[in-house]
Amino acid sequence: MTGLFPRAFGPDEDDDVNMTAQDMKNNYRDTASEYVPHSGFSEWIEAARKNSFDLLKQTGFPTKKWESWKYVNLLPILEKSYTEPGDDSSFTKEVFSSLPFSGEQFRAVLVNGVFREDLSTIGTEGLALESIHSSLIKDAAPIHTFGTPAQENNPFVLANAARLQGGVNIRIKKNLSLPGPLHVFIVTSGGTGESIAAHPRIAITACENSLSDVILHFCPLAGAAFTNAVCEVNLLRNASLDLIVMQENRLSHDLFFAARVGLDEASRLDCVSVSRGGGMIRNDFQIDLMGPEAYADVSGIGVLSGSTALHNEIVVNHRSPMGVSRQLFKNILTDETQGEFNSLAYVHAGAQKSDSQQLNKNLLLSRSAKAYSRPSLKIYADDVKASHGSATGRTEQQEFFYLQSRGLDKKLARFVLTFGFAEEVLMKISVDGIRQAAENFIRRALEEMMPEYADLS
Amino acid sequence: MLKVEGLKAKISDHEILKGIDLEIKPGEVHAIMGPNGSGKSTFAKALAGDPSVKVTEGKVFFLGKDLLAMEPDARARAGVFMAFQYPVEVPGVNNASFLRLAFNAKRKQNGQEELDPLEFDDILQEKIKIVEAPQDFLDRSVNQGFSGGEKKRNEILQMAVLEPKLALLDETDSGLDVDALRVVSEGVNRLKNKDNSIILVTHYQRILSYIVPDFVHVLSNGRIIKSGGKDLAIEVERRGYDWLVSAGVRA
Repeated sequence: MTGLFPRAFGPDEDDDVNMTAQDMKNNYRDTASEYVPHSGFSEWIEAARKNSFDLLKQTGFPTKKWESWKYVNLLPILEKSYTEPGDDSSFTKEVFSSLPFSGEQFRAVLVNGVFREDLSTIGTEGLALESIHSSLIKDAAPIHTFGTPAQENNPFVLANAARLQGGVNIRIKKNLSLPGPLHVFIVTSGGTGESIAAHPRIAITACENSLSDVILHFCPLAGAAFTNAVCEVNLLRNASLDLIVMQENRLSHDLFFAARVGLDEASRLDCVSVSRGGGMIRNDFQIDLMGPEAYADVSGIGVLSGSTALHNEIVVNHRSPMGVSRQLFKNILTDETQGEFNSLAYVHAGAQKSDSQQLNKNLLLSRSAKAYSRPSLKIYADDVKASHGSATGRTEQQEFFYLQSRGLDKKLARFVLTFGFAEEVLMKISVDGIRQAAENFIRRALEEMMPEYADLS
Repeated sequence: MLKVEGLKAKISDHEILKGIDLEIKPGEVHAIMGPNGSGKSTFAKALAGDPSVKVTEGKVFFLGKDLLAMEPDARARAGVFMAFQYPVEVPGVNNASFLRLAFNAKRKQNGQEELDPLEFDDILQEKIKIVEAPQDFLDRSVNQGFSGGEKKRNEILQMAVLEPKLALLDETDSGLDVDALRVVSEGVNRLKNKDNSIILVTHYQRILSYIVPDFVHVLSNGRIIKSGGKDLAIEVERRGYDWLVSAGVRA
C-alpha cells in the first residue's frame, strides 16, 4: 500500500513555502493515478468520493503560506507512509468492552472509519444509526453527508471524503428527547499492523425539537498513526445538541478533527472538546448559524506535555439575525508544547442583533511552551455585539497567594489553580458521567505534569 | 499572641512601613486606622505574607514563633487569617471544595483526619448561617461573579471555617452597604472569643460601632502616631486625621 498521500501530492520538504508549477503538475498526475473506487459503495457515494478527490487535486494540501495552517507542522504527516486497511477484524466485542463507556445504552462504533453494526445500538425508537453507505434513511430530512465540498477550505475534509471507507449516519427523530447520551467510538486500530490511518465520517441530523447528547470518543489504539475525522451536524429548527469531544491522544498518533455544523432557526449547539496530546491534534470547527436565533457555544480545554501541538481553528458564521455564539478555549501548556487558537467570528450582512464572544486563555507552565492566539472578527452588519479576548501567562501571583493564605501549600495551590483553569471549561459538560471522566482525565494529566514544575512559581 | 518589633517593609522600591511596634494579647480587638497611603493594608499583608510586600527590618512573633520565617501557607495553618480587601476570584474552583481543602490542610497539620465532602458539609451548613449566605454560595466558583458584599461575606465564611487565632480584617467594611456591614460585623462578633485576637484595618469609624475595639492605633506615613482606646476612633471620625498628622504626635 502506498502512503496516504503520495509525496508529490503535498508540499515537498524544500518547496514547503514555494510550490512550483512543476509540483502542481506532479500532484495532479499522481493523485489522478491514485484514485481507488470503492466497489461496495452505491453510485452516489462513489460520485461524492470522486468529486471530493477532484477538488482536493485542485487545492492540494496546505502549505505554511495558508493562514490557518501557518503553525501546523504537516510534513511529517504528508511524508509518512500509512496503511488504510478499513475494518479491523481483531477488534472484537471483547476488545471493545475494555473501553470506557462501552457498556452504555446508546452506542455507535466506527473501526478505522467503518461502521460496526455488531457493536452498535440498532433499533432504538427514534434514534436511527446506519452506515453511510447503506441506503438513505427513510423519511430523513435532507442529509448533507458530504456537505458542500465545493466550498470546503480544509483539504483534509476533502481527503476524508475521497478516502471514505464507511461512516455512520445518526438521526435523532423529531420531538425526541434521547433518554441517555449516545456514545460514538471512533476507533483507529492496527490489530497487528502498524501506521494505520483512518478517515471516519459521522453525520448527525438532529430533527425538529429534538434534545440529545452525543459524545465522540476518539480511541487510537496500538498501531494507530493518523485519524482524519469529519463530523457533519445538522440541527433542524429548535433542536438542541450537546456534543462532547473526548480526545485522549496517544503518542505517535496524529488526530485531525473537523466539525461542520449547520444550525437552523432557534436550534442550539453546546460543544466541548477535551484534548490531551500525545501526537498532534488539530480541531477545525465551522459553525454556521443559518436560521434566526440560533445559539452555538463552542469550547475546549487542552492539556499538553512533551513536544506536541494542539491547533484549534474556529469559524463561526452568523448568517441570520439574532444568533448567539460563544467560544471559550483554554490550554495548559508545558515543556515544548504549542497551543493555537485561530478563530474568526464572521457576522454576515443582514445578521442583525448578532451576539458573539471569543475568548482564549493559555496557562504556560514552562518557559519553552508557546501559545498562538488569533481571535478575529469580520462584521458586515451594524447592530451587533461582539467581543474577543486573549490572555496568556503563568498562574496569577495574587490567586496563588490567596490560596496559600488559606493554608494550601505551594504544590496544592498550584494544582488547584491549574485544575480550576481547566474546570471552567469542564463544568460546561452537561452529562455527569462524562464530566467526571473528563475531570479525572485532566486531573491525571496534571498529576503527571505538575511534579516537574513544582519549583516554578 | 502577636508581638511586632520595629517592622519595616517596602512595596517595589517604596518604603511603606517605617518601624511598627505592636503587641496583641489573646481576646483583644485592635483597630488600625489611618489616612489613605498610611500603610495600614501593607501592615496586614506583611503579617499574612503577601509576596508583594518585602519586609526589610524588624521582628514578628506569633505565639512565640518567628512569623516572618514562615511561608504564607504555614502562617495560615498556624492560625493567621487575613480577610482580603479585594478577595481574589478563582474561576473553576468550587467554593465548597476550596473551603474543604483549606479546612483539611489545617487538620492535617494538627495530625487530625481529613474530612470527606459529606462530613465537611455538616460543618459548612453551620458556618454558612453565620454569614447568612444562600446555599448556592457553596456551589459557585470562589468569588467569581460575587458582588462586593458577597465577596466580603465569603471571607468571613472562610474565617468561620478556619477558626483562626489571629484574624486580620483588611478594610472588610469597604464597599459594604449598611445591611451587609451588619451581617459581616455580626459574623465577626460571633467568631470572637477570649482566645483569639482581631486586627481590624479600616479607614472609617463606621465598622467600629459594630465591632468594638479594645485599642485603636492611628497609622501615618508608615508609623503608629497615636494609640488609644475606642474613643480615639470617635475622635478621628469627628476631627479627621489631619490634626494628628500635622501635630506629628508619636504614641
